[in-house]
Amino acid sequence: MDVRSASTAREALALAVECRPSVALVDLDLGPGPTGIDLAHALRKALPALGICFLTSFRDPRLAGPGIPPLPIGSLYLCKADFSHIDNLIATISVVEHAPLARRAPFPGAAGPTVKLTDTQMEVLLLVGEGATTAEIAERRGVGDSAVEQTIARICERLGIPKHDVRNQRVQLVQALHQLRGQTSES
Amino acid sequence: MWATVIGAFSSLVLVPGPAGFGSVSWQWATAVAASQAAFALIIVGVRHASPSPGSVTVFLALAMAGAIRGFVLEVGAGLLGVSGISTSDVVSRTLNSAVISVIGVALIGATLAWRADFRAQYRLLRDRAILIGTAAHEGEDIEPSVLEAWTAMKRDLDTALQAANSRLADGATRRDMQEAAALLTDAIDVNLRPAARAMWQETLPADEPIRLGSLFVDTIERWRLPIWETLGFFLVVVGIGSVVRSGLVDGGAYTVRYLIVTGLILWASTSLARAMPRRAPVIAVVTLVLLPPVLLLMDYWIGQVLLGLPEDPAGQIIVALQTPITTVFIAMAFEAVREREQVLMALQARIDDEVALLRQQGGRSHRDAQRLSAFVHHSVQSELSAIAMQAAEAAATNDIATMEVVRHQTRARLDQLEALDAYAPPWGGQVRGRERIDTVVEAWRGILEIDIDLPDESACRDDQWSLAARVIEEGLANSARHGDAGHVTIAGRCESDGLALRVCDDGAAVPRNVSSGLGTQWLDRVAPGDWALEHTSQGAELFVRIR
Repeated sequence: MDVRSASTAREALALAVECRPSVALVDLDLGPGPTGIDLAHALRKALPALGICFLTSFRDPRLAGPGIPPLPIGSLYLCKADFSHIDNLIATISVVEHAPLARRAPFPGAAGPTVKLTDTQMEVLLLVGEGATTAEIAERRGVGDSAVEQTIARICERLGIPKHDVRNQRVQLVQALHQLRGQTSES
Repeated sequence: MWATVIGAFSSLVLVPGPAGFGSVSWQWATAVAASQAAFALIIVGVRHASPSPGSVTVFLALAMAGAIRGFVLEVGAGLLGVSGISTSDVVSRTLNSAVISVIGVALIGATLAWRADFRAQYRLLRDRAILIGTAAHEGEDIEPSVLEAWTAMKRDLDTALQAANSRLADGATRRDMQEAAALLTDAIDVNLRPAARAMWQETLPADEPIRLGSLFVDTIERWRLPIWETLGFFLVVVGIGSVVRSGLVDGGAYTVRYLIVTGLILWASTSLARAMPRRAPVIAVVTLVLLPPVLLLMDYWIGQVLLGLPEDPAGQIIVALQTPITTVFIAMAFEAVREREQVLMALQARIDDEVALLRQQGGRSHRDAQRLSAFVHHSVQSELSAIAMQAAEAAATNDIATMEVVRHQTRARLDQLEALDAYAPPWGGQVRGRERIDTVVEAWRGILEIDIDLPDESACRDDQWSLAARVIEEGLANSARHGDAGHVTIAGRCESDGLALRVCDDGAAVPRNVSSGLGTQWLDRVAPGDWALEHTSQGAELFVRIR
C-alpha cells in the first residue's frame, strides 16, 4: 500500500492528479476555508472513480459547520471513536476501494444521537458551542428569542439532556458538543 | 410598614403628650401602639385579600385604616384616662388621621416608586454606557482597569488549569479527579466571575444608597428650598387639619395666615441663601430655629391681638414645631432628587461622549462588547464547567477504567487549550479581517481558481475588512458548494461611501435559490440596501458595499 499525505486542499488535489490514488482518506475539519467534504467533492470531480473515506473525531459531519454539502456518493464516514484497531480502518478502506461508487449508507454514525437533530437544531447547537447568547443566536438566524429557547429545549430533549437543579443546561450542551466532536470522552 | 413606623414616631414625638411635650406617659404610648397596630392590621389584611389592589381600593383602605387609627387613639387615650393637651374630640381626630394616612402613605409610595424608577434608569444607562464604552475602547485602547482585570484573571486561570493538568499527570485516583474538578470549578468562581464583574463595572458613577446624614448636610449647605411645593404640602396638611379641628371659617383663616407667614419666611430665607451662597448653611439653620417662635408670635399678634380669633395653643404649638421638621424633610427629598438626576445626567453625558468618540472612530459596533461578554460568560465558563463536570462525574463512578479514560481526555483538552492560548483576550489574539481573507482564499485555492484584487489593508478600517472577510468566506463556500463553480473573481475598491466588494463566479450549472436563506438574511442585516446578487448564464455575481 502506497500512502501519500497532503496538508492543504491545493496540495491534495495536485497529489491526486499526479498519483491517481484508489482511495482518499480525508479529515473533516481542515481549519478556516473548505471542509474535508468540500475537498472530497473536488477530488471526486478530478478523479470520478476515486474511493473516499472520511476519518474524523466528529460524530456527525454537520458538526463541521453550517451549510455542509452531503457526502459524495460511495464514501464512508468513520468516527475515530468507533474503531479500536488499525485493521478496522484497513478493512473499511478496502471496501471503498473495491466499490468506490456503490450506494451505501455513508454515515455509520446514523445510529448516534445527532441523527435525531434537524439541520436547524444542529446549527443552533454549534452556535451555543461558540458561546453565543440566545439573543445573538436569534439575531444570526433571523428568528425570535423564544424560538431559539424552544429549539434549545428540543435539542436537549433529543440529546437526552435533562433539566437539572444544579447543572446549567447550556454547560451540558457544550459538554455534549465536545463529546460529539470527540474532544472529550463520552460518558 | 414605613407608614406605621413614621405614624408611631410622629404620634409619640411630634405630637405632645398629655402633660405637654416630652412627657410620654405609658397610657399615651399604649394608646399610640394600639392605634398603629390597628392601622397595620387593616393594611396587611387588605394586602392579603387583594395582592394587586387598584388605586381606588388603596385610597379607601388607607382612609379607613387612618380613620380607625385616629378613632382607636382617641378612644383608647380616653379609656386609659389620658386627657389634656394631646387629645381632641373623636371626630376631628378620626378625620385628621384618615387624611394624614392617605397623604403620608401616598408620599412614601411616591418616594419608593421614584427610587425604583431611578434604579431602573440608572441600570439602563449604566449598561448602555458600558456597552458603548467597551466598544469604544476595544483593541489597544482598552480601558486599563479592564485589561488589568483580564490579565490577572488569565494568569490565575492558566495557573489553575496547569495545576489541574498536573494533578492528573500520574494516574487517576478518585481523589485526583475530585481535586482536578475542584480546581477547575474554583477557576470559574474565583477568577472568571470577578474578572467578568470588573469588566462590567469599569469606572462608572456608583449607584450609592442615599445616606440621610450626608443628604441632610447637603441640604443645609445648599438650602435650595422648593417654595411652592413646600407651601402646597402645608396647604393640604395644615389646611385639612385646621378645618377639621376648628371648622371651615376659623380653620381656613388660620391656614391662610399660616401660609402667608410661612411663605414669607421661607421665601426670604431662600432668597438670602441664593444671594449669599456661602452663608446658605447659616441662613438655613437660623431659619429652622426661628420658624417656631416666629410662627407662634405671628399667630399671637395677627390671630389673637389683631383679628381677635380664639386661642388654640395645642394646634399652634404642634404646627409651629412640625413646620421646620417638615420643611427640612421636603428640602431633603428635593435635594435627593437633584443629586440622583445629576448621576443620571453624568451617565448620559458619558454616553454622549462615547457616542461622539465612536462616530469619530468610524462607528464600531456595540456588538463587540457583547461578544466580549459572551466570550467570558459562555465560552470560557461553559467549556471549563463541562471539563470540571466530566472529571467530577468520573470521580463519582470510582471506576479505574472510566477515570483513566477521562484523565487522558481531560489532559488532552487542557494541553490543547494551553497550546492554543484559548482564553487570550478576544481583542488581542484575533486575526485581523484582511489576514483572514488571505487565509481563507489560500485554503480554497485548488478547489477553486481564485483571482483576487483588493486594495491595501490601510485603505479600509479593520471592521470593514472583517465584514469583507465574512462576505468572501460565504461567497467562496456558496460558489463551491451550491454553484459548482470552478473560478471565482474577488474585486474590491475603496470608494467615498465604503468598500465596494464584488465576488463573481462561473457557477452556472446549478440554479440557486437566492430569495431566502441565512446568508441573504445576514446581508440584509449587516448591509441593508447595500447588496445585490445576480444570476446570469455566465455565473453569479454578488455585490456588497461595506460602509
